[in-house]
Amino acid sequence: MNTNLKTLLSDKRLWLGPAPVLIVFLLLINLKVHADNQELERQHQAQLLMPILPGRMRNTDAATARYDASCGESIQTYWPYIPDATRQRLVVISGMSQMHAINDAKLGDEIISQCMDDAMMPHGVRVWGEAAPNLCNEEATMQMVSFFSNPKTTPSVFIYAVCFDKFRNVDLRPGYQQFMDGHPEISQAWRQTADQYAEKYPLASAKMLASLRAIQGATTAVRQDTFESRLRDKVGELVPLVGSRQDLNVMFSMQLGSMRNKVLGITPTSKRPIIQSRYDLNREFLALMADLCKDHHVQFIVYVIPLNPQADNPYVPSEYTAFKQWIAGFATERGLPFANLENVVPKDEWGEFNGGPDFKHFREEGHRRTAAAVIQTFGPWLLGTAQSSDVSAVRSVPQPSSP
Amino acid sequence: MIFTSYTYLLFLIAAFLIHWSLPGRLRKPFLVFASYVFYCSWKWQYGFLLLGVSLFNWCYARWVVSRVQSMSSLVLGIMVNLGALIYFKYTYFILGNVSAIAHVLGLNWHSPTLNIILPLGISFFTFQGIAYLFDVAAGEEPLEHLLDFLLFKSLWPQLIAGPIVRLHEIREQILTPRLLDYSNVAEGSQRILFGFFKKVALADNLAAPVEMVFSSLSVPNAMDAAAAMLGFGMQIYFDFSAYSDIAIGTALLFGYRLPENFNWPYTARSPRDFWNRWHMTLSRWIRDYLFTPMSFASRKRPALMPLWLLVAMALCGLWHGAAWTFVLWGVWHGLLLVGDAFLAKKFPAPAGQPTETFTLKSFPGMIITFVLVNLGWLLFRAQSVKQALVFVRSMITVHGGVRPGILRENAVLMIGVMFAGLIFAQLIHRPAERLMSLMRQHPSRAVNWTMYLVKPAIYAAMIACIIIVDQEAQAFVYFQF
Repeated sequence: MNTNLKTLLSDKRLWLGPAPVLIVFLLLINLKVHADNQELERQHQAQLLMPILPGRMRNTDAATARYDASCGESIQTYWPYIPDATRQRLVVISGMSQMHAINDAKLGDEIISQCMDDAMMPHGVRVWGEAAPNLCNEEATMQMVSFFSNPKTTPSVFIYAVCFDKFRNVDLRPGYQQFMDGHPEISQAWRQTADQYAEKYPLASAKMLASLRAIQGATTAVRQDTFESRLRDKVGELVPLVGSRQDLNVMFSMQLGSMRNKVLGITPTSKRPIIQSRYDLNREFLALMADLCKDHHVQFIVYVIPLNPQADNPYVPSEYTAFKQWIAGFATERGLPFANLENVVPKDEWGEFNGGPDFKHFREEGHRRTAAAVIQTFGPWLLGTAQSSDVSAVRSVPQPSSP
Repeated sequence: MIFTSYTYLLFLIAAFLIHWSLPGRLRKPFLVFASYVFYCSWKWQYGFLLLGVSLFNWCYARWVVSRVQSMSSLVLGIMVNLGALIYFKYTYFILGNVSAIAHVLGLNWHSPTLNIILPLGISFFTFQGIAYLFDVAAGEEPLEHLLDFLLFKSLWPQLIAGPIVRLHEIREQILTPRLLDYSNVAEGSQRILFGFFKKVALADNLAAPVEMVFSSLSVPNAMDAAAAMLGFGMQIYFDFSAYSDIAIGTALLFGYRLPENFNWPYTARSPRDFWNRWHMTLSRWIRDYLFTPMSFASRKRPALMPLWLLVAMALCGLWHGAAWTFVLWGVWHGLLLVGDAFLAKKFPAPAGQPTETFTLKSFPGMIITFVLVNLGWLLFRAQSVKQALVFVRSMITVHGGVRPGILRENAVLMIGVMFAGLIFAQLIHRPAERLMSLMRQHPSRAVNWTMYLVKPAIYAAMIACIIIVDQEAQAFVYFQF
């Protein structure tokens, strides 16, 4: 050390200026983050609508999960445990948070995909759940492309639980981007699909290519193997504020959201009209999914998710009615097994959200009942015994009864 | 190595400690070495390009331009500098246009497939090299030692995206030993922090919704178009001024003071005022090395001045990017400047222009300038002129109503909140500066204690915010230029 560094260190202004106080503040912030680590983790889970059980945090044992328990945050963790489709019949069921959220969760509760797997396993059929909160159709397409990229993960049946307000969403979440970035064969299949359908589905194709460009052009956001990402992880081990930045980000976003809701008087049931260009894009993606399945000889099944009959919802009634008509027509036109399971789960099997009835997420009973309804409605396709004439027969939907 | 990455922070801390631990005579060589490490961390092969261009400029200025001392000696020097820039940046553009012309003429010629990767910062270090040769030709003493010149040319804070530093602005600093001074370190660290905040918390969060609208195949409605235009206007300001802040702050840590590049550009009261506040080092470059020589050459025909202004600004646009949208963006600003000059002649401002940022009188000019500048950003950001026109049409005809059709309501809300924040910051920055200076002049124990706690609390909040909202080192917009 020469005189210059010594000069700086011996400068009174350094010790009496803002620097030491800043360091103290940063230390306090880090201590606070460290102390609240568990709570942050819990809030992150709550944001993902993962079932929160006493004493159990994330990272459900991957080997026994039977679904993507990271809820889209880390697909690669669970991907190796997808049942081998070359050895038995595989059914994939995909959708949004309803697929994995459990209101008033108890230890031992199971979600739709697990209930279906239990029921179908004796028939030599395995069921895998691949869901994420707010899943949009581009993400469902990405799931499909990923599943179809390898014979071992190519299912016989792909069931998609369609949720109307997810047609407001676009883009691939970071977990999906990371997954694609880490699997060149999936990136390639994604590009090929976009090119193949560029004329038929120009909006979806352009969006797919834009998403790919964003992933490949990203500096570190989705890259896991760079010096920068390793450095961040290392710093994160030493500095709690950095280590918990993603959880803090979630909490920060939630607080901003609550502030927005208070200021603008927004409630969970405030009407959320469709955003036309996103709606059109999501419709194209759904059509693309149907074509993809046809190309890969995979049975595509679509159903409209159950909603709480007791709770008001944020849908504009006329738009929702038009959507249901459109999707029923779409399924008929494409010859897809389709059902509207909107009324399958009775009012007492839901739960509460923000002090009022939850319109979209149910208790475990709801999961069992939905799983039963899916099996009852689409059973022949799940077992591989359906005839083409069966398609017209599935419009009659089971009504609430004992699960 | 992106400025807002952890890698850069590690590099900066290491460079700072090593630099100030070394004996004085080794500091300059170390800074040159560190600058090349910084540059080569992106693509090491292009380090040779930078070195080659630097060696040429140093030799040519020292042994040709300074001896001949005439503008004619500049021609070769400028051609060599521009040659590299044209090859790396404009080859595709030129071939694409030649191919289009051939197509129009009915010739069956297609441009060959090339794989040219644009070297980072080439636009900036080319302009710096040309300015150096010009200044030497105009009588300025060239830098005698190669090491001094290499430092001038490659000092990493200004290497990739400016500020475009001219010889007279830094010569004394290069030639005299730098001292580690607390006030420089404090100011430098503060500038870096502000730069991080602007880039990570503001610019990067605006980038996604802006990209969504501009890359959408759907026609944006009035709300989407307006939000995207406003969002991009803020994004590019926060992004580029953040880069300049970090560059200036970094240089200060090593005892060098680079020229300022931004001065609240959205408070400009006229297009001319805007260019005195936006990318100031580029504006001066365009004025001194492009517009002034052209005007001087035709000084007997003053009627040509507006034409030179248009040409200079069109070239300024082309410098930003090899596409006609950028050229038109430059022409748009040229037209604004010509109109501004015409109006200033017709309605000369009374003596004693207001110096305050916001006065009632300056308000209309400020709003009009802001709107015109933001309309220009449409050309800058759009993928084609047609797309820019579609945006303008949507806004004028209130196409599709005022409910967003591409963006989510949250994105529109965020852009609105940031815009309100920008206006608020513009309104309060001068009164706040006055208050601070008043407090410094009349210190009191209570005020001192308050400041002693408030300043670090704000810094800590900013650091926490940067870490939390960080989207992991996104590239700066100006890197593509």
